[in-house]
Amino acid sequence: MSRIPGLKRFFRLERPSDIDQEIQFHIETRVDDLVRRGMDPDQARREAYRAFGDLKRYHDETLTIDREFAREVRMKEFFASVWSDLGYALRGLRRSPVFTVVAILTLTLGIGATVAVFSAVSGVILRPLPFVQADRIVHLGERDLAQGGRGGTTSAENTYDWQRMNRSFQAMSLYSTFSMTLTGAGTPTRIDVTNVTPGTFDVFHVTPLLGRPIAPTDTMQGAGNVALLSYDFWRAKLGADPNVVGKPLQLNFNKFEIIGVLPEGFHGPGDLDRPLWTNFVNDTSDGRAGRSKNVYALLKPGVTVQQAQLDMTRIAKQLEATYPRYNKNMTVAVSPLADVVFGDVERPLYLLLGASALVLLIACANISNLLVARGIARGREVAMRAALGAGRGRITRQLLTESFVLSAVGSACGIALAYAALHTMTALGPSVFAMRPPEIDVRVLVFTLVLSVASTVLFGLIPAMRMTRTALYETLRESGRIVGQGGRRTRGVLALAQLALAVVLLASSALVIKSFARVLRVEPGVRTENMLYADVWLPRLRYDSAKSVAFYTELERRLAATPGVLHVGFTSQVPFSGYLDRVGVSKFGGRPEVQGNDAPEGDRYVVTPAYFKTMAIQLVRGRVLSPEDRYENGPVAVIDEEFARRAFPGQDPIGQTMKLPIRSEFATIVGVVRHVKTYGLDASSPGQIYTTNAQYPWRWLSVVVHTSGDAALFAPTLARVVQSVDPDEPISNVSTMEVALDNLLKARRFALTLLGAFAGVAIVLAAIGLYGVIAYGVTQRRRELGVRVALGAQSTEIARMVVAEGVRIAILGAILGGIGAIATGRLMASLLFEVNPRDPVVLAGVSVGLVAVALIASLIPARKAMRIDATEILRGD
Amino acid sequence: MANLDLLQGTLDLLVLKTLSWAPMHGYSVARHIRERSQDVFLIEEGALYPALHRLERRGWIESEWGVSENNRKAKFYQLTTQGRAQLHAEVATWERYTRAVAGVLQPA
Repeated sequence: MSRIPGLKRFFRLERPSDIDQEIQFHIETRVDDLVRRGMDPDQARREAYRAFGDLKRYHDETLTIDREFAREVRMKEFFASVWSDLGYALRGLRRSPVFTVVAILTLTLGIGATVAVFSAVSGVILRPLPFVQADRIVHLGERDLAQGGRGGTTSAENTYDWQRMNRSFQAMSLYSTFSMTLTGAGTPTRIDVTNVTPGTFDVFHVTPLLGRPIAPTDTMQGAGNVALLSYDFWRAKLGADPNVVGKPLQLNFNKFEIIGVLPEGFHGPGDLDRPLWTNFVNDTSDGRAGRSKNVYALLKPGVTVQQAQLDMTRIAKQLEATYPRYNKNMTVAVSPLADVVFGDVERPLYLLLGASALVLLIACANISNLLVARGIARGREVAMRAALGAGRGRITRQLLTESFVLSAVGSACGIALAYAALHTMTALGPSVFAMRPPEIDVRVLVFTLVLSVASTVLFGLIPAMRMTRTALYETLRESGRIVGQGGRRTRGVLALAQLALAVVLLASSALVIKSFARVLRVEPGVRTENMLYADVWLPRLRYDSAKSVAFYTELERRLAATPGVLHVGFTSQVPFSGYLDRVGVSKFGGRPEVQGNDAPEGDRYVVTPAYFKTMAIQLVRGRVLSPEDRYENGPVAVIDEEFARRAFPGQDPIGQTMKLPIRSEFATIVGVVRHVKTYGLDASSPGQIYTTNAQYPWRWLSVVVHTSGDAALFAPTLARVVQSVDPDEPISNVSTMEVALDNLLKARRFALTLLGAFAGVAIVLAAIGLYGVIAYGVTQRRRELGVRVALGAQSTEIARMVVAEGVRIAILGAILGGIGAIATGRLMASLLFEVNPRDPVVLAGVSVGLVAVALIASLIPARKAMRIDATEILRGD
Repeated sequence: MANLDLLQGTLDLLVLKTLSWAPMHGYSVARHIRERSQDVFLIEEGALYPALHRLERRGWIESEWGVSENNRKAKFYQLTTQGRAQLHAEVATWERYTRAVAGVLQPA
């Protein structure tokens, strides 16, 4: 009996017939034994089977055992080979550190950027709005026929007619917004309130958590004041008191009864998302022209937005005919809720999507490039392994493992980058992000991962795929010479594509940067540094006209005497902070009355005379308002250049008169001042009309303080001084002009940062791609270059050849990219400010930059080429 | 005397011990156990084969095809190093077990 050799036996799969044989042997030997002892052969056989037992059962049992055993062994073998492949892959990657780092970096950037941006966009735009039947809710906005857009507010009168005449809506919501003072619960605070109609609860499907919604009886004249609390307000300020229904609330010193609490997590769109909802009382004092109401409506089942639009256009026309004075040239726009919520953010976000898709493309192209080059360079190694007996499957698996390791590490880093990027975007980005912080979208993640991994794996397999038998032989024989020119062309094309895409991104971001710089250079028209402002609004119950004037005068006096204050003034609107008070002037002295909507519009500012000095608004003609302009004297006004241009074209406005709201006497224009860009440096604004609060009493003024030091630090002092005049008077909405201006620029700055980041990534990737092409080109042409050197070529000449190739590709890429950039420039027009999308300076600059980068990228391989030792090459290797 | 049922674990022990004498094929193992235990155990000879293959899977015995005394192709088993160690351990366990039982059964 031979000694049993090693482990190999264990790995042999036991076939069923082996077990049969073993069992058969047992039976036969038993039979032999029994026969030898004298038993009859037939009897012996019977006895042998009997003694053996249930043959089939034992056979099957043994077979099962063997099968499981074999399976175990196969698993172990598999894992062992996978482990060895992993080791091989890691060693291989470690031997080419540059390639590994670059590949991982490329994957990280490509995956990270794409996942982050796509997640952000899909999170913001593609997530359904958190309202029941959100796609059936529309916004009804009144707008001028000449203008486009979603329209804005309308008057209550109009909405009553809309409700009466429409055929498309099953519910309508009307609301207007106020700021009121909440007293009786600690320090007086300013609180934002929305007046809503009962229809609001139907449109947005809101059922109060506690209490009841606003009922039609609450909207009738003489109805008591009622209020519903938002969930967050109820929890924060009233401690989630379950018995809050029926308790009183004091707003602007009027008594309100709490009738309910809104459900948790309900945030109405825009201004409906406020701490308090109060009842909208039918009140026609504003008239049909008092356009301060917002309207949302719920479509009837089966009615489309287009049908509703047609319906409303019809109604608008009828109203225009019935009330030509107020509704001339006005129509109604019906817009889906999503448009209203996301409208402003959509465009830039889609652009970002485009940019990140480009980056992903570049990244994939880069990876492919790198892998193809590497694969070809390793052709020899692969051929060697094949010659030594490695099966084609095994080699393929080894190459796959390497690709997988790259993909895995790159993907992990990419996901981490995406996470970080999303956090940064939430912090820096427009407010829409703050509302619902975007998270990593799983679908996007999966898609991006699949794409990157697929391209990694695919191009990593190229060496294996090139392995035909003849190629094998050739490879070994050619000792170092790389098989096939085809790979080179592919790589060149890929590098070209990357460069072109990089140019597009670079040009786009350059344009955006230029726009931003232009915006920053615009003169706002007012002083913005060290300017603190705050609302100091007076409640009607305690302040009549005379008292309010006295209050503001006294407050101004005290503040002016406070150390740290250089100038102080009051105004009804603070520029850049989102205030809006616009009037249309239809009655001018010495002219026929201008029809309703032809009246030139201006933003109405009720100010104290010190406002002009405080804001450093320049005087152009005449004089600014003065303390001498008291109520008893004839009312006067100061207008800005813009309003002067539109209301008094070609005339001198000084001495002209016009009628302004709340007084019947006409105001005389006494001065013209510089225009102020109140809606932001890049937005247009109609003119400004200034009157003094002494002549046009106004209870809702904001104080503006020019401080000698940091404006923000003055806030507590401001509060103190205000309360020294009236301890019950809160100040609210405290901020500095710088912050306000900054906020307006936020969206632009965000787009700039992101595009810039993308462009940076793109150019880095493109440079790497180019380097790869040139470097491997050099390796490939070693023999040729060696021959040239032997024939007398100078090393500088060699270097020049190499660099020239790089520059050639770069120029071609720049041209292609330039064409692409011009095409996309048009798409970007909305983001640009006074910058031509086809700006030749930008395009030229970017192209030159690209060529410069290409030069640098080519220098390293060029240097390597210069050091080629001709003798070494010719000696053969 | 009635024949006793043999526990699977014990069968493994017996097989290991048997093979510790010398490498042998399945039939020999069966005969050896039968003779040494004086036929006390009610064991169907077929039950040996699952046991043998199981022990092989565990790495305590290894097998090889060879030719038997009666000139037939047979599968021979022998103990591995681990098997030998396992045998020692199981014997020790068995002796502890039987000592304990005997201790309880001891008269006073």
